Amino acid sequence: METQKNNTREERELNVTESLALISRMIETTRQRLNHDIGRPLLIWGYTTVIVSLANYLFNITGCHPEWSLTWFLIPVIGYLLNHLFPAKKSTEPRTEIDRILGVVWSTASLSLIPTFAIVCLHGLSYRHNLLGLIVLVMAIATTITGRIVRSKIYTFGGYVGMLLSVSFALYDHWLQQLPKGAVDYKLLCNEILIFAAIFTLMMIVPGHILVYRSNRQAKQHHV
Amino acid sequence: MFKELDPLLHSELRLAVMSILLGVESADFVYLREQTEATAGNLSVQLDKLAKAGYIVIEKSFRGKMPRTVCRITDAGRDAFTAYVEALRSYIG
Repeated sequence: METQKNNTREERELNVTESLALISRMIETTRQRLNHDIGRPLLIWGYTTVIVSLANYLFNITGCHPEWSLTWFLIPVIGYLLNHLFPAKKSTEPRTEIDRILGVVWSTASLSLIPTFAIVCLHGLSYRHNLLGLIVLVMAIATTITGRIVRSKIYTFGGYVGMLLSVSFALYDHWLQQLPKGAVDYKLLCNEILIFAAIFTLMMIVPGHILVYRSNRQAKQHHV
Repeated sequence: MFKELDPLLHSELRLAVMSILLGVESADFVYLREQTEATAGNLSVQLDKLAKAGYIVIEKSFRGKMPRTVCRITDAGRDAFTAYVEALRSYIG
């Protein structure tokens, strides 16, 4: 029965209106399906960064050994693994030109963090606020570009928020410099990590949840 | 003046496949089957017809131990699709 139905379908010639409707429907379905989980990478990278940042804040204020700071490098490792465990697309789903472009954008942005890290480290650890600010700025630029490419206002807005807030590290450092000598203690310096985590929450986690919520709602409507 | 419609594209399943492939770099056989709701056998026959016409290329490989068939639209396929849409337009006026 099924075979008969499909054979009929293959043989059936379409009229002009049906052809155009079929082309539109297939293109639209593909477009919607390929954009359905764009919020997931934001949640994976956002939560990974925030959790590792808060862990490092705790290590710092509780006086753990400085070697615990190496756990910062868990961010790319955990993020990469989670992205492979919970990919935004099934392995059978096709890759589009946009996927390729986004891959290039994010791999370039991620690679640029290596010289950024090296430059700041070579200047000494007193430049730590610059490192955090630059990391936020690079990730915010990549987020904004992604948002513009996939035409997502929420993604783009998250990126712009990140760009704007990357300045907060310099402002916080300026505020610390205004304090009387001796008033700046280690805990005040560690607050930069909390600012870092807060920015990633606003830049990635909040937009990611909104996008996933919308995507799930659209999927439900589609099934109904 | 009505333009002639390419008979290879003027069938429901083949047109659906070409419309999908137009928007992606490549598409897995499983994905095409899900999207078109065709049977594997029928889809396979239609893909072969498109491949013989040079409209798509079919690459067979393995992912782990699982066989995998990936289809990709060719430049000739894009041109044929564009010509087909142009021909449809001539009917609409």
